Amino acid sequence: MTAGWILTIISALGIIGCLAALIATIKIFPRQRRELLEEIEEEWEGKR
Amino acid sequence: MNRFEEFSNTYQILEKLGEGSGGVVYLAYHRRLQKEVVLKQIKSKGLSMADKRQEVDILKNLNHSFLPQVLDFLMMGDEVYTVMSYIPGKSLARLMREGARFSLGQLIRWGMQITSALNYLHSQRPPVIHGDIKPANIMLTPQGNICLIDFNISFFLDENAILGYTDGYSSPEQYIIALDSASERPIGNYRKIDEKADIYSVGATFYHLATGRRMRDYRDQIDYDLLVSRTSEAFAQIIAKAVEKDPNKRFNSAFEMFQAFQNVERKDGKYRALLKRQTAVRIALFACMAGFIVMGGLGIHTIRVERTDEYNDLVEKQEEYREAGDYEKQEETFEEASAILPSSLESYYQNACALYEQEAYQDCISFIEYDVEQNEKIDLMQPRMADLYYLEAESHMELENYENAVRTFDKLFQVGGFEEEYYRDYAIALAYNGESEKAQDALDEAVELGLTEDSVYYARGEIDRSLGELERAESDFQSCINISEDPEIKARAYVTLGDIYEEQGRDQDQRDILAEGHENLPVENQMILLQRLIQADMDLAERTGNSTYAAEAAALLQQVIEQGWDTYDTYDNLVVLHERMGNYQEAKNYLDQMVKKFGEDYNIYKRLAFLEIDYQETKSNAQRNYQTFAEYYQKAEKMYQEQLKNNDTDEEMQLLQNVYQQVAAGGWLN
Repeated sequence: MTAGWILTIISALGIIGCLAALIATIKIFPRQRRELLEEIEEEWEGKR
Repeated sequence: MNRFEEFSNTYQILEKLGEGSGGVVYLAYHRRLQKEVVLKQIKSKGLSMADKRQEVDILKNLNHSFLPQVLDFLMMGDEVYTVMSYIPGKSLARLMREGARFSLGQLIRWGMQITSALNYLHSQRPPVIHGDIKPANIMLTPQGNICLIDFNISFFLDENAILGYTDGYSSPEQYIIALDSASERPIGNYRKIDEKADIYSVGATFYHLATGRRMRDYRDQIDYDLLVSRTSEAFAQIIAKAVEKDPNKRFNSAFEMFQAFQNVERKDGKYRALLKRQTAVRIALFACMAGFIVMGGLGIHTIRVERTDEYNDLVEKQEEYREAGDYEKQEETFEEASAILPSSLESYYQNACALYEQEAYQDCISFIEYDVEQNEKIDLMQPRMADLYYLEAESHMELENYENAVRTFDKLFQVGGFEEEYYRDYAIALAYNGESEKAQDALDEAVELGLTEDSVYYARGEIDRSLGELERAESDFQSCINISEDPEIKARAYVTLGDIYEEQGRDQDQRDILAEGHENLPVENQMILLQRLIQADMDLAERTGNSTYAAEAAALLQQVIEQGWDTYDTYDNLVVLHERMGNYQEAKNYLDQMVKKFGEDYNIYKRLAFLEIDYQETKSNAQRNYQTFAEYYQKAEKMYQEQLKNNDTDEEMQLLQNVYQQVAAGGWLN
């Protein structure tokens, strides 16, 4: 396994990992924002 | 029926609700609609409903979830009443008096509802300004929604009407215009009441609802810290902007305020922090991906460089194996190299050189024509192609296919092989192909390209030879040998001159000129010369019977072995020579070496059989024993018959059979 192949394999894995993470953020981030908004709303409901 | 009767037929007064800005307010029952309605007297001095048809229609057509419906207008004498739908529930003012406190979520929801209703009113043409927004005019329905009641209809209907004010909720401009047009307070020069007055009132109302404190009047400031502590920073910012003294600093429209309420959660510190973190994560991921893409590009580039380095190392090894005469390893290395970079010609060139050096001229030609020219992966316009075509042309020359040689040279020049040596050999090929004029032209071209004098003599020698002018050719080659310092050209000249002597039957001259070359040339340039010299010595030894030539030939063959140029024929010739010189043991040693190097075959046993015969004949009859001879013969005969289908007959085997029969007939095998 030469240095060139090691670099290429690592970069391929890295690109796949980053893409997977970015795709995951499409679902996870809106859910996180939604949950936080609900939390804030509940907090505000409690603020009387 | 008069108006009063008509009124009584339609409405049943249930109770007096109170006093409004224009007059009394009643709760009534609408007999036809069968529902409760509110009858409110409005200020109508000098107001003619007939003249306000359009405005009346606008009001009657108002339809919004958070506004009461205007059902009708009634003229009772000089009094004007509005008939509006009754909104059940309690006002926010009443709820506050009862000690109710409101959550931030409620305030935001109601804020959106009120500004939605205001946006609807302000969007009418002409816009309907509420003018009296305060907790008392905001009803909380049983469903938990608000309804904005009691907007100032007389102000909408009568442009001359003066809009009233309520302390703590009305905008500064409302105060100024209503109370004192020459205000001493530097709070702007207000000329009219517009949508921004309503926006101020919403802000003041919600400040009261949130903090429980009401602003005293238009000069009062809100307690911002208190508001933040009771609600949130984002909510407080909305209220603070709404109650700006300068209308230009407030929200531009009720819709803008609505959007601010809608997004208040998103302005929360924690939410904004989350957004920042998420954005940072996304940017980091993109940056990492970009980094990995760059790394990938670098990796691919490195792979290419490594492959090229590996390929170049293998081509170097090919050259080393070739120079060492290890053609088997050369071929293995060629396979390896061409698999790595199939489009590069270097490994193909080395392999073609190896085939040429082994005198496998037809293989060399086939290799270039099929493995190279018909290889789709190879770009035939690469400069190295000229060298390959040169090898092919030279191979054709060696096989005396001069027409093909000329054709190949034509292909060579198409790819740009403009070397003087190529033109020189092209001239020779043309000459041997019978195109002497073209040959001369090519030679002239070579001279113009800088062909050296020794090469010119060499080329002229070949041209003269092709024209049958052997004496001139001899002189040209001799001149080439005399002046040249290039061992390669000199070697070719010696060999060709020797060939001329051979054609003329001058075997002694041939041997002498080749021997001279053997003495004068470096050993690495003598491969072909040695072959010719050995053959010349062997022919002379046979013709003259002079063992000196045989001994010389044997010594030269040993040199061939030392140089690594040995083949099967090298050893075979050594066996024959030593046999002729009576060195039977030497001959047998070489036969043993042949078995080890090349494996057993019928020729080896044939030679052993002849050796044995010669050896036995040196003994007296009484001491002779031909058993070993018989064994060798039988082995040779068996192997010979096995391979006879695919090969030519061997006259020596025929001779050996005769000898065997004679020995057998002589009773020597009993």
